[in-house]
Amino acid sequence: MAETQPVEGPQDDGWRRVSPTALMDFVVVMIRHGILQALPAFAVLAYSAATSDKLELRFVLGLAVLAVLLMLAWSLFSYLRFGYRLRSTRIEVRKGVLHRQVLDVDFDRIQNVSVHEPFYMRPFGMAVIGIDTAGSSGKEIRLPGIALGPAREMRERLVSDARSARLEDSDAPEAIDGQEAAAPRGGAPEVLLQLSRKDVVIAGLTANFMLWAAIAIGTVMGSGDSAESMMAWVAEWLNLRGVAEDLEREGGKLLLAAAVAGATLLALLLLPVISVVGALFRYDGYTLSIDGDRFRRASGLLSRHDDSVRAHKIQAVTWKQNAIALLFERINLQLRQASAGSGLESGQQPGLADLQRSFQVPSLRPAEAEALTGRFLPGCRSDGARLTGVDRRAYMLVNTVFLLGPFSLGMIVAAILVHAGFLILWLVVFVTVVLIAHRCWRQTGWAVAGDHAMFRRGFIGSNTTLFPLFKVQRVDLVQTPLQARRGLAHLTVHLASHSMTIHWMRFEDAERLRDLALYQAENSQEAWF
Amino acid sequence: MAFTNLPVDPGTLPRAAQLQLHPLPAEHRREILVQSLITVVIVVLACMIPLIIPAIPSEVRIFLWVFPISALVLGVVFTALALVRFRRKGYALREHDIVFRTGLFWRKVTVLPFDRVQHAEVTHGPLQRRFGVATLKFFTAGGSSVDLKIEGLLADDAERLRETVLERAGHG
Repeated sequence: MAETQPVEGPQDDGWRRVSPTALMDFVVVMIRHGILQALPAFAVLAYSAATSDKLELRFVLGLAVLAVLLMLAWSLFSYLRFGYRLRSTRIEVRKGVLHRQVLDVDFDRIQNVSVHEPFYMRPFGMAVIGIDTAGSSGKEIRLPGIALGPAREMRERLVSDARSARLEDSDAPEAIDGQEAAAPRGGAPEVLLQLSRKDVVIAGLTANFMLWAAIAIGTVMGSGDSAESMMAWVAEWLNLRGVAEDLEREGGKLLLAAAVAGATLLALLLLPVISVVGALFRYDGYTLSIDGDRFRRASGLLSRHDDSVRAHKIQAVTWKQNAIALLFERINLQLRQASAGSGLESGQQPGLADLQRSFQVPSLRPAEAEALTGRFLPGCRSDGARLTGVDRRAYMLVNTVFLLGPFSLGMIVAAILVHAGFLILWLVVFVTVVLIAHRCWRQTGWAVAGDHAMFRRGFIGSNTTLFPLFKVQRVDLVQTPLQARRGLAHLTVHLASHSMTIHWMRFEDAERLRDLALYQAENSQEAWF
Repeated sequence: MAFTNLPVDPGTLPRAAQLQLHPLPAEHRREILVQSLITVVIVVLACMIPLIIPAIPSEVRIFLWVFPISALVLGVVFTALALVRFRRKGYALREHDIVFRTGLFWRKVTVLPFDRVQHAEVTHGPLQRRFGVATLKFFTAGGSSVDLKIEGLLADDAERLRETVLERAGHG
């Protein structure tokens, strides 16, 4: 195959080229980053060209053809320039047409290696290797157009090299790595979980609707970045305003209102459908397995995603159960890793990119979630833990006063100046806010079970994060003079993956939890990163 | 190495609260004062610009004094707060971690285990150099932002602290 041949030249400097199918990937990446952003503008241009006679349609189409040609040429140059080289302790990637750069990544900086088969490469048996690096300036390196077999081999090599590099230069993780090496390896991976179609459908229903809609589109296009511009473009294309005007002319305001209501209802019904379709695209054939010290997940209908995470890289496990998940008694589990490869570099919707890349185990029954958490975080028992709540008075007071204070003032003024009926509105809102705050307070809590801690917050559903105490990076204890008088404090725990705060804990509890976490962090010999 | 997990009596855990904290040096207070003085002078002068515009009638101009005076008052208040905050700041080293306390209304105590420090840096601003103080920053793997920032340490102390922490963190 092309990717195993060195670049022709008088001297073999080790640079390897990727298969020509990578061209397609360059085009897709470019479409994702630039063209879709410009599409709404182009649609407007085309529309106005079609309707007015000042701008000619031919001219606009010519422009489009030119843009496509430029894009293809750019991709070709990108492809010709692109190369990678494996060295003994690092991998180098050469890329860029005008702004030429050589990325140089040490194996021991590699956090994660994923093998992704996008739908446009799958028929050719090609894949994209994604390399996630550590560090605040971390970003993902893409190696498109590698044949699937070699890609898998390369992942094995990168990951095991990352391990041996670590073994050589540091002694703290050595103990744990040595232990793992002694453990039976190379045996068949053990399958931990396989999701059925039904599970995937439930996963679709329980996930955040809007996000799923975006991802459904994003998966097809290759990324979620462009979802928003797609929406704008669809609205433009449907010419919603024109339709509304026609309706009003034909049947008056009533018909328009009926049509709007109908469309809204349809959209509301459609959202879960889109969400489920998105889940099917993303999670079809979901298989979670454990292979040595690595958890591996493979899923996807058109594009296959194959990610893995090493056991000791898991910083925390979050159980997400929103209202709908509660109804189905399912839990969506998320592994929190110290990956700096968020979308910060590209500057586009990092939240969505994170969600797509993050390691999710969706649609679990409570017992499954319990059992899997025990595998992800050895020694973590979440069943016996009893949650300790936070101070009710402080929680309610602060959360309601800041919300209701300005609102109450406005309502009272309105009641005096306009109509006494505003008082009823005020009462309704007041009671609602107090009830919501009370429910949120009830869902907030923390617990320590052995070496692990558990933080929970939520409203109807809940969001529970479990983490080994020794993974703590830093602890902040914050107290205002008022809190000091009432013996309360905020405790913020910083993990390598994210930070969590518990507000209005009892001061002694906060201090004890802090001291315990620090004790664990400073005495543990286990690898935390 | 065998993994042990012995029970720990919560009562015998080392407590971060019972620590004698080192205050920051008096040089830092002088730096705060000079910094505040410079800022206040600049802001007050800027607020006095309308007073010298001849187009404004003198009856109105008297009221314009409100701006520089309120700027002056605010400056004095903020300086006083900064001085009180200075007195509340303190740091301490323990065997395995560094403790830093700061904040006037939101009193924050940060504890950072040496083991978790990824890198550290010492910076000297122009005014800081004048007073021989420096800012010490520690970074962990937690994110891109600074995890612990101690402003106004004596330059030598900052350097020594950094070396001590990195040495114990195993970065040599």
